[in-house]
Amino acid sequence: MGTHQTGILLEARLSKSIPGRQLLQEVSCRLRGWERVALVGASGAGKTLLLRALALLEPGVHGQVRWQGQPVAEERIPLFRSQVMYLPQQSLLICGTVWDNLQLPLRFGVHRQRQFSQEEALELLRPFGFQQRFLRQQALQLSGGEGQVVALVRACLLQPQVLLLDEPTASMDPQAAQAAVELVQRWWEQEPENRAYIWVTHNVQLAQRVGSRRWRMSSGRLQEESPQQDLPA
Amino acid sequence: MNSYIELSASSLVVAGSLIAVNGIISLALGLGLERRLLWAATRTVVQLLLVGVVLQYVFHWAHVGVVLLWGTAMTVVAALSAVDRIQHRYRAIWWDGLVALGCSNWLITLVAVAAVIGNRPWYAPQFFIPLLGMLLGNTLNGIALGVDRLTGLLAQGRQRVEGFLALGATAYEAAEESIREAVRTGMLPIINSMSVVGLVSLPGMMTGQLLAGVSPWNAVKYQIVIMFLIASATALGTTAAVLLGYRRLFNRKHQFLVHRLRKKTGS
Repeated sequence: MGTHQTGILLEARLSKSIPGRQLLQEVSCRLRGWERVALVGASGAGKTLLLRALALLEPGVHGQVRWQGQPVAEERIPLFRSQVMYLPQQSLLICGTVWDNLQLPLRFGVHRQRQFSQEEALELLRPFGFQQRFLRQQALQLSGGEGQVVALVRACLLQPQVLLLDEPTASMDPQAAQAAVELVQRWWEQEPENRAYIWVTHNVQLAQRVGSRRWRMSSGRLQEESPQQDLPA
Repeated sequence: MNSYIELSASSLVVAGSLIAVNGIISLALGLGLERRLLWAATRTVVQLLLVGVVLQYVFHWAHVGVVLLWGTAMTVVAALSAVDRIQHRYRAIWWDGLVALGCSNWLITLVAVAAVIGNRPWYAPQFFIPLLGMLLGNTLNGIALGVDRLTGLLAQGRQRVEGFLALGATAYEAAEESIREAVRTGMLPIINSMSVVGLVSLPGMMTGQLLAGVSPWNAVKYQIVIMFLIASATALGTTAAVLLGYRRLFNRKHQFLVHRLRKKTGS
């Protein structure tokens, strides 16, 4: 798959420091369509910060993020984030049912034209073992893993081009985690030449399964590794 | 109808001795409030006497510059007092409080003296200063409650706000619920007091006019005007302060600047 020559979706050169510590050290990265990146590294190495910086959510970052070859203008940042979607480790759930939560983004101007039916949502939820009544459950009563499923399904329903996934299966049981991998895979396969993701994980097997490329963050530096290279335990 | 009774020094002494009731309660129940009580009572007397002396001069001169200077001093003190009650603050909060409080209250006071009461000259101190003071006293409460709610909600709701932004919300869309809740919180006290005014208690200004011998009918008319002026000044001031706060906590890149919020120390 690495031989496909497709357009560059995301390109960045980023630095961030706080007094006495360099959090991102001139991190350069480039993400093309078709690419599936597993991002690994110890806790505190800067993985989450890198994803947040790529989604332009992190203030005080120096450098530039280019989207499809162009810098992102300030007024187009919400549109950019609807296409380059960051999924935080802690799932965002609001008071209301699961269906309310799936529809949450539709209240934002950038998604106003978008629509999806309950059937479309259920199609993505069924592999996790959820049926119609799950949509009526109160979201704040869900377990951490169920919340992550809702957040992931919500992101896939919005059909972004890039997903920045911050340990999206950390709270899921192995079956749900497998279904999540397949869900992301199906989203990517719908239009692989125009889609890409970065998947943060500490799990060695998962990194090998989800990534055609592997990036490693350590002390704010980013390095590319061979995907076949064994990860230290 | 003029039955104004001037208070003598002995009247003040009799009223002052009643503060001993508070001291006795504090001692009897071991509240440990005696020193604070003494300090508060002393401040009441000294502050009001000083204000009385200054107002005597301000009223006597009735000079536009002096009235505006006194009004400015009142506005600055009110802004300091409003900000002092806010738990989560950002660096320029004092400035924002002053701008919101000053613009809203001066505008409504000018409308009141020029168009509602129509006194001449417009800066006549016996109208301008008490009107501005009443508006400031109420608006500072609205601003303190509103901004405290805004910054509190945003500080505690960081995950939610950033989650909204990550889904493509604009900064305003991400903060909208907090902004609405904050303005509502700031405006509720005046709406509540408008609902019960006259039924539960007679407002201070109306009481003052009645004590000064004004007919109840005239006092009521003044009070109605004042309530509406206070309501509009509070709405304007609170909304302005909350929106200024929102502008400080988000940037043009639709990023939430949570690091700008600091919890008040020593509270």
